[in-house]
Amino acid sequence: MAGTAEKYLKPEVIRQVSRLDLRAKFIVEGFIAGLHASPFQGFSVEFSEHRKYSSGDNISDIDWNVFAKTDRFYVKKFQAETNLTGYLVMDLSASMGYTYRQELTKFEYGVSLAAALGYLMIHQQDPVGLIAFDEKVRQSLAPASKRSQLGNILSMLARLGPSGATDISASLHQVAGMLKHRSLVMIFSDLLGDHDAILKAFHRLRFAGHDLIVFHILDEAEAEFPFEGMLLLEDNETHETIEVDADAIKADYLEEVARFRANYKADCVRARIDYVPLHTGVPFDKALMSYLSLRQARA
Amino acid sequence: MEMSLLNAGLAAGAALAAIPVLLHLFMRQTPKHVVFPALRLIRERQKRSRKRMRIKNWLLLLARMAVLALMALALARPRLYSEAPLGDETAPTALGLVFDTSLSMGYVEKDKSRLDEAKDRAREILGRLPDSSLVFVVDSAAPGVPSGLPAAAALKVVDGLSVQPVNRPLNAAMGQVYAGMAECDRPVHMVYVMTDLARSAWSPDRPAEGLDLVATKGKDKGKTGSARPRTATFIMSLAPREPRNVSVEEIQPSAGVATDGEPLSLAAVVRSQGTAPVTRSVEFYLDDKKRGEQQVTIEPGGQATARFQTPPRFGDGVVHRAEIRISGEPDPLTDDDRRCFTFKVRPPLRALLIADSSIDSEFVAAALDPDPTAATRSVRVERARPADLARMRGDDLRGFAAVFLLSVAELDDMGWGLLAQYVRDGGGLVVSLGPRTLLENFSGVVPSQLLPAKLAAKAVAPDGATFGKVADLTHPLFDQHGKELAAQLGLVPVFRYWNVVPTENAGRALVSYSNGAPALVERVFKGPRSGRVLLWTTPLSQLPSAAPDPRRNPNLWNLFPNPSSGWSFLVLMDQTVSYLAGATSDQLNFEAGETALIALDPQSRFSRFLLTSPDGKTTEELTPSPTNQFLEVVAPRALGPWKLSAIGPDNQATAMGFSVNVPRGESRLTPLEPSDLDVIFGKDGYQLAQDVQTFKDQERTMRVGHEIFPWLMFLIMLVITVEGMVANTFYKEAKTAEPAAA
Repeated sequence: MAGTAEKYLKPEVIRQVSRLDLRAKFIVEGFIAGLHASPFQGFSVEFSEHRKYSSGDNISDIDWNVFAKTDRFYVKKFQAETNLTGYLVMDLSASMGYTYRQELTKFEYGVSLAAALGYLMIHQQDPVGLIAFDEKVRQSLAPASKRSQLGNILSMLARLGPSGATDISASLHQVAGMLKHRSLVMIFSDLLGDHDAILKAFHRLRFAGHDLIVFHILDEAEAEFPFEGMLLLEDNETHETIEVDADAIKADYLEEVARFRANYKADCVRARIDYVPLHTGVPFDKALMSYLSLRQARA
Repeated sequence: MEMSLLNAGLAAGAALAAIPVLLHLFMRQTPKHVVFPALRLIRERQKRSRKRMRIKNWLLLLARMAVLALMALALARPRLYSEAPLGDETAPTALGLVFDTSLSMGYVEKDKSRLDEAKDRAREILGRLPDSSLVFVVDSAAPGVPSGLPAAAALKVVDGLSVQPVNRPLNAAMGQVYAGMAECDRPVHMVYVMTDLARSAWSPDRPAEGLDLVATKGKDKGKTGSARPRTATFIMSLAPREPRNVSVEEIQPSAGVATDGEPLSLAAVVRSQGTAPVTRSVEFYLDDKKRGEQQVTIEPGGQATARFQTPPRFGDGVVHRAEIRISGEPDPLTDDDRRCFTFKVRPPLRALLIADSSIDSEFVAAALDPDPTAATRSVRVERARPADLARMRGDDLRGFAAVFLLSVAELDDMGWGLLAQYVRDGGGLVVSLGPRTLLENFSGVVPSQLLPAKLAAKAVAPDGATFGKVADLTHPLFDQHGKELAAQLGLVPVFRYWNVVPTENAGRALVSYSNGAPALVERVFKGPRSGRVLLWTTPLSQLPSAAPDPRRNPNLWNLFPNPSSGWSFLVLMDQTVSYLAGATSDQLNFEAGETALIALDPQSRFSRFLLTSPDGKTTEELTPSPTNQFLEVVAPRALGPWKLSAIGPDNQATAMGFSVNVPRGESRLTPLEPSDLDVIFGKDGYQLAQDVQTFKDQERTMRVGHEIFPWLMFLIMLVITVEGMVANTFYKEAKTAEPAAA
């Protein structure tokens, strides 16, 4: 990641970019640059509006402007082939607003990621919508593939903020009820809720024919437990406290986190849901890569 | 098993075990407040692992407390005892030092005799003896209960010890030392036995004396009423590591008394103990003049015999001394490298054969004195008729080494009386029963008191009967030829014999017939000179007969004297005279420790005796027994030939003497087995050390017990390791969480 653009894949760098649209742009451009320099170079990702004319294409789809400039035939419309409605589903729970020592909270990390994905999808002319929930769906934006949709999404994301308790499963059930067509649902959440209930909600979405990508975002401190000594830990949603010896429980806690993630992963694999474990110290390209893998598979 | 602490005060440090608890209670950190949304994960985990965590916490706490407690305990130097401890090295001690001063302690190894080594050990022990201690020194040569001495005085006694030829078993010495220490009020009682553990120095089949005085566990009370401390017995083995010794084991003379004009044969048995064959020169001295030398090669553990012969004429004096010496390479044990043999020289033996007819004595006479015209004869035979006895006086028989009564029909009371007197004076009588023997005459009062068996009746032997079993092959009559002689006797046909019943508690059957009936019966009359009667129940002659069939010829009783029956007759007749003559000879050779009882000629009235030790340095005046029959020299101590000068009333001196040799067992160096020591001291009644280090370790252990410090340190290391493992499992290094891309 030595390139200028690629540095924006790092959460601590993107934190310095205050405008969300720019964040999204930088993340995506950094990602693309990284792709070209990476072992994934052969990964054929067509996100352009144009592609070369080939036999059988409708002549009316030829972009004559491009032909005028390049003297080559390009068709500009292929939504019909790749049209995949995406929903960015944001968890607004208070726990998402947590960070211990990272630049971005889980929520900010998720918003940046969502913005980047939205940017990416809009540029691929995929319709993208946005849904935000805490105990229930609080905000939603119908999907659209217009350029203006990106602005709407970013503007809504920028206005969102984590607060209060959450009920992920109920909210996702609600989301499932809202979606009428087969869609790609991208969930950004720390999944700190009732595992079985959340899984049921995943299943409902999945069995309704939607593709799911679960971006499981934990704070870097939650993932690696960097604490030492005696701690009085407080849940910022329930305000419950517990006193622990950090050194004594670290190993057990990390085992529990691994088990927590492994359970979700196993359940998601069984339901053919893409599960992407992340924490706020992880570069964005991992998340984007998983999206593109799915996008490629659908294309 | 009991335990005590050498530094008991330091054991209080075990209270330090409370430190982890106190630290836990008072040094608790104020927890840092941290917002942590994933609290539910911790709670989930705690739900499942709370019990395990609690156990781990307790384990850790216990391990840490244990480490501190064990360290405090280790510093207190705990010790374990199987029995009550003796006490530390500063406690006043009643110390018994028992020295084995037997000849085997003269064995030299690394330029030091075993006794010198023992003295060195004793000096070490005395050197570190606490003040106010008392030492009881006993050596196996000196009887009597020792008195307690200060260490300095005891050291002088120890320095003065030397190897002694005469020793009592160390079992007795133990009794002396235990008795001496029994009433000593010192709090610590210890006995050290310095010995090479040679079997000859102990009585392995009986317990040490005075063991009842050795209280255990300090519960017994002495005469003073105070508790008697336990006495610890340490045995320091000073046995040579690889004993090697060449010794003159025995001198076997062809006769106990030499006959003037006949050479005396001496067989010197030389024995070797070791791991390699040895070659030695065996030298023969007669009256201090070297008369012969032979080289012998002896296998390890084996023996060789060197044979020497004296000249036929011995020169002046009745008593002479032969000596066998080993020369060649230096020997670690020198006392047994020589052996002396004192013997008397006398004129040829006289044997009186009494028979009714000459034919009855012919075969015996031919066997004893085959050539009456020869210049040198070992036995001079004289013949007599029974009637001649009546004309004899009591003293007339005294000059005969043996009297044979051969197939005599009867004797008058006078004759029987004479023979009885002769036997009681130490004479040897041989009686053979024959066809004419009258039962009534031989069953009379006097013959019944003389003969070894009561005559019953004549008996016809079963077909094919021979002489049968020899009861004791070690009997002097048979020991020279042993089994060969017994086999020869088994070839002699016997047709008739007298049935006899051996006299109860007096008659002993030496040879029986093949049907078990007694053939030769002996009776011994104990006295200053033991007399012997040998009774053959079949004749020692063979009457000429026209009828060779024994069934038809009542005079044919056996073919014993017949040369066709082998050589047993000749050998037995010869041995008989030697044996009976030996009975009238004096014993002049003794082993160290034996009391020398020198028989005196009652006719010579000696008023006093001058006894000179072998080295000639000491002379002692002795008086004979009131009966003037023997002179008693109680356990002469020096080895070698002792000279004895008997002074008569007219101040005429007669040269006599005797020899004292090393007891045979001393040369063997056979060590006691641990099982023997168990018998002597009881299974747990002693500590045996083979070397100095073991000796010191055992003493320390007995004094202060088994120190378990090393084991505690090992335990501490173990607990620390366990604590580390538990802690590591508890606070194990967390794996870096690597979120994987889907």
